[in-house]
Amino acid sequence: MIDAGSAPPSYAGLATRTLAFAIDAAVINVVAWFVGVVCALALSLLSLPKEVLTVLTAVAAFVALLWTFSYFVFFWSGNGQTPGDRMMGITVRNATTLTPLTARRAALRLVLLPLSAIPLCAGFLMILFDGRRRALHDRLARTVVIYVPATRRRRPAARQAPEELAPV
Amino acid sequence: MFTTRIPGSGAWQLARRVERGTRRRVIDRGARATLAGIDLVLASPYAEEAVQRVIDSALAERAVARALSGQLVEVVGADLVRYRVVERMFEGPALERIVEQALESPGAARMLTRVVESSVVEDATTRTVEDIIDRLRQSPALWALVDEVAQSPAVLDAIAQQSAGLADQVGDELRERSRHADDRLEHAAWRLFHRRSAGQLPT
Repeated sequence: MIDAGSAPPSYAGLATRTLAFAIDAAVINVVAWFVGVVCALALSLLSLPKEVLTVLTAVAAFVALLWTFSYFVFFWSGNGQTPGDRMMGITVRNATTLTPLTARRAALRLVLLPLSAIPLCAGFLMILFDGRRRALHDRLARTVVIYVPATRRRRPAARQAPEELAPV
Repeated sequence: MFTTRIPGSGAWQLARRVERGTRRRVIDRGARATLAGIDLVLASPYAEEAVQRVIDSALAERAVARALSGQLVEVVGADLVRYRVVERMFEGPALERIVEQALESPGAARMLTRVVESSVVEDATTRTVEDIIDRLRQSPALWALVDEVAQSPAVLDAIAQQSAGLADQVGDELRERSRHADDRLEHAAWRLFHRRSAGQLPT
């Protein structure tokens, strides 16, 4: 949790955010492809009519879209970090309070995100010029992306001294 | 008490004493003379030659063969076991002293060096090690031990820590480089449009 009263946050730039988004896209696609291949193999055993296959394809596309939507909303409304954000050491926060987003605001941010891409990604290039490194969808959804210290893996408890395990 | 004394008994006893003394002296001198003769024979230059001829003779060979083919070996072996000769020899301090002296001597060191450096020892060592490795490879106990060690918490902990350390290091490097790239991109855009970058603005 970022303390709003502490030192001013450092806002994440275009390169870091692009890399984090690429990592998230890779995760989303790998999972979607895996599930799609498994489902396609299972359906290949059945001789279904063409109309049914068309409907199933539409359903699969909707499920893939829902999966992508859920992925971002879930992580942004959690601690503000998708796996890609976590790897790159950034987090999405409310621009005013610097607290994690609510699910509604996270969904709004995701819905507004294509707006940044539509005018030849000009909405994303706003990151380079905005004082708080905000893209168009950040401005509209009132969010910011800030750097956070990297989260280290917890070492095995068996190696720690009993004093370290005791609650402070 | 009345005692009678036989006439001439004193003379008889005296004669016996004289006879015994004379016999003892004769035997003693004879034995001394015999020993002196043996010493003389052994010290002579011909004694060794004589012994060598006896040893080299067919008679000696036949005698030894006859003794070995007879019950002598069995009897000696049985006596060695019966009187625990070997055990006593190993248990006694004498053998230990002999071995110690032998090992401390420079000759033993030279001999050992020669033995160790010889190709025979090298070949034997190589063969032994290869044999041991082959046996270990075929031993299920070794693989069970390897599995046990590989699955031990200490080894798993060390591997996990090393993997986590490497991942952390890669992650740190990636984050640092991406942040530099952020700043560079921003500075480039700022130069392009003559604006101040976000890093220079008060937040």
